[in-house]
Amino acid sequence: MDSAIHLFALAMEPESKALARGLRRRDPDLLSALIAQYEYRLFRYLLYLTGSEEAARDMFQETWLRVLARGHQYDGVSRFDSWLFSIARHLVIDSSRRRKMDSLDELLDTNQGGSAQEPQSSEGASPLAEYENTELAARISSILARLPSVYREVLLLRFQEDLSLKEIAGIIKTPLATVKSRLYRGLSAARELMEEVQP
Amino acid sequence: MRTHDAGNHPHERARQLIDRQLIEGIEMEERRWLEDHLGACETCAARWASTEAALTALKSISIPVPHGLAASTSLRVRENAVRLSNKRARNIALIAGCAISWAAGVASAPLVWRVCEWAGTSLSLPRIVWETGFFCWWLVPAAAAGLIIFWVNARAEREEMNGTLWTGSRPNGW
Repeated sequence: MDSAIHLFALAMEPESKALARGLRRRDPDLLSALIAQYEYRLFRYLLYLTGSEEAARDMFQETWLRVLARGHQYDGVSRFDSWLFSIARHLVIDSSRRRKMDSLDELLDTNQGGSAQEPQSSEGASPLAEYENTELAARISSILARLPSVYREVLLLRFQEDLSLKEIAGIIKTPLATVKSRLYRGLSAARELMEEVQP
Repeated sequence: MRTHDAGNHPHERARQLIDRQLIEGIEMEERRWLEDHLGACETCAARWASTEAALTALKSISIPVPHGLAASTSLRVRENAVRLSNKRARNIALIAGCAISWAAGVASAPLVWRVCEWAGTSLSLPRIVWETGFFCWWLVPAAAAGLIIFWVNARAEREEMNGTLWTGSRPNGW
């Protein structure tokens, strides 16, 4: 298993190195390709972080401008998506600080005893609700919106983005043990909420 | 201290293993034990199935991406890439200009000093006057060049900002 991972890493290495070189050169074609490739995943992550489609759109653009400006900082060793999400998260936190808030938790857990808002579209209706394709997905969306942001974020990164625990720890700049603890607690909290809303 | 009796222990272990399997993975032996237990216990099997279904549903949640988001972002990125490239070229020119100016100043300083001294002596000026003149010769051109460069950079950035097509919404008060 380990050797398979190692072989995969070796096969991936030239691509990530080439990516790092392109980012250092500020290659606009490469950036356009990356924007298209990560459009959905990055926007989804930002939508969950900010809880607002408009804010997510702004942060999406700001994230790519930051990638352009700081592309030389990508080492070509770690996964690009982890680095990208890390930048996006920092921008959201910076933005929340500019709004006189101290942390991401305060940005998201603004009301109702720590429950975050469900992502809202510009028309006021939930973009999640508009596009839920199954009844279960609808319930999951509602549960996610009710989860404290610290749990929601790690659950999404682990189970929606399929990132490893180490990568999550790198993105949210938190010790691995804390990431694990949040995942266990988040999963448990999500399960309790699911039982509450069981039809 | 154990909080559950021996009868519940396998179920509690199964629950812990289900979570651990999903979050960080479990050993082969533990996996075998879990599979055996899930095969025999309907409650734990249902718990496993519902958790798996929930996580599958989590992945299937669809988010509407605003139309043209990638295209407008790409355009902004390209514009900024040009702006950064221009800025870099200006900075290189500025650094090169400063280096040449500094080198020329250092090289010509003894000659200029002698010229100022000769002029001061010929015109019977106090020493402080022609020394001030010498320092002005050093400072005034550099200050003027600095001001000109600052003005040119500011104008270029203003023109770029005016010329940049704003393709997204302005940062709002969210």
